[in-house]
Amino acid sequence: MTEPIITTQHLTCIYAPGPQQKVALNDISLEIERGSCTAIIGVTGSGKSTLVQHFNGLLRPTSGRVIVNGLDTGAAGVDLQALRRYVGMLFQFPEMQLFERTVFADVAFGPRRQKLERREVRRRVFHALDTVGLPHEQFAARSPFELSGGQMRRVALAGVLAMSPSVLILDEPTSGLDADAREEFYYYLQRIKEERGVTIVLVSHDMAEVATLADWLCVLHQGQLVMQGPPRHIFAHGDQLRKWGLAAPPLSELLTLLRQQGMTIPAETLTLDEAFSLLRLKLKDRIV
Amino acid sequence: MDDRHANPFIDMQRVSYVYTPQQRQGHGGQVQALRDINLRVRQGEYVVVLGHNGSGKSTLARHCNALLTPTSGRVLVAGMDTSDRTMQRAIRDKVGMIFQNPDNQIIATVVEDDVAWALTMRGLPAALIRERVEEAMEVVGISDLRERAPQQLSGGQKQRLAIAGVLALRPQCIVADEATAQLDPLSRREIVALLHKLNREPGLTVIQVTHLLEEAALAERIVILQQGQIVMEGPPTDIFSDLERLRRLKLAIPEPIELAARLREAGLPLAPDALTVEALAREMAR
Repeated sequence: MTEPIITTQHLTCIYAPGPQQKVALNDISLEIERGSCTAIIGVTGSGKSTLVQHFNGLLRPTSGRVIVNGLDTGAAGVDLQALRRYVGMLFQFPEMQLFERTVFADVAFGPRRQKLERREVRRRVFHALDTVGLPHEQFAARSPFELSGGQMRRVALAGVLAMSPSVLILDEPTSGLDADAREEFYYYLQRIKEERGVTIVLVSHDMAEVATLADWLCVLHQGQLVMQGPPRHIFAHGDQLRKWGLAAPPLSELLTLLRQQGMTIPAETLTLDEAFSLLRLKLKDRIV
Repeated sequence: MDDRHANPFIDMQRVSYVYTPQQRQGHGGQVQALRDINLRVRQGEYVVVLGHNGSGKSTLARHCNALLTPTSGRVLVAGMDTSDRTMQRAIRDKVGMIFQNPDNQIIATVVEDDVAWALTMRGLPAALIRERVEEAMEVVGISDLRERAPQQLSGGQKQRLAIAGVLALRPQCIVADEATAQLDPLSRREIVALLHKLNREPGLTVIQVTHLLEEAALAERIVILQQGQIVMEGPPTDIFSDLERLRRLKLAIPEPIELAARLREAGLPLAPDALTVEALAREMAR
């Protein structure tokens, strides 16, 4: 097994230390595999965003360590700019941060600040736009503000990609998008993962989204890592998720209810196809 | 004619609405957001208005309390024409609105003051305000949060607060415009459950606007918009019987509904009105 791309060791984060202090993260130790898609799930205030902001040095640990690609982010003299190029972050509602007159200029903003050669900027911008399904011939010269919500969000994603990050952190990337725009976003995200081998860390409370994209889940509750594992494993624990204010995806909930009513359904059942085959078999006596 | 048509609470007659380039603030030319909408909502009815982004559903919602008035056609609320400026105050007292972003709806720095805000602005007697605020907080379940700062509340709690603020005005109808869109799944269900409760107990008319089919399962009637027109309308059992069409309307089919449809197709008899996870589980485990 190769070395994890991100490791946290006993990571604790305390806001405003003192009598009014708030422990935002409490002793979190986890590993994120290279090339994986890991989702951090939990209700508002559980510490999800605080956790991922440690991954690119936006926050430094109060105690414990965060190691990114072998580099301790809390060490003296860490090159934060290099770290942030390595770990790109797409914030919530990123389309609100678009401001340039053309799509090209918006996506080129980061690479230009890096003082890359003009040709290289162009290459990166075009490549990033093509990757997120906005062919540069068609979109580069347009105003970002005349695009649909889903397209604007993908422009913002292209802006992060143009920095060629090895890790891509996405904070609630599809909230507010409709079903189609969401599906499209997932499609391009998968493509980024496959074509560019980027490691993805997803902050989400949308369980359907998590079930579609992630291969590993970390559940946070009041700043603590309370459960982790593959989605199938986590979603089979519907009752526990509820205690943490979370809900399994509707299909997993249905299967949990069927289990409670005495049907034997293996915990690994996750997809619609799996559930269909299983139930058709179980209920075959009733089929007419 | 059934009584829905005889005595509608909200009566939209051939309503069209066009956004001007000025309104769109440089985002392009004029856009026709509603086209020839005829919709009648009976007192006490629970109607879900469904559609994807840009279908016109929020524009329609804003016509229910005169936030927008039709470019052509007319909207009557309890018989009052929303285009009549002298009626708009009375209309807004009858029809309260909840929006998508709870942060934009909060004014005061303490929960109970926020609930009281609109009443205070109307200059009502303090004792009456107190009574109404107590009642509203009680109904939505935020009494224990009365002294908190709204910023400290979760998204779901903020929406409850927004609903309490509207309830304090004793409206006859609540219009919830994508009120769950920014919430996590559990809070989302709680808010939908609260809207149903308000529909049952004080008997409020509820118009719930959403892009999520799963939130529509318990409605009395579903109205689906596409490109500013009503393209489907009926009780949930009818609407959910044509999944292909819903897919074409860019609505995501909830997986349990999809599963049930495939099982029915394979020959398993399942009641057509089983549209929630609980009802489907009962049907399947029977």
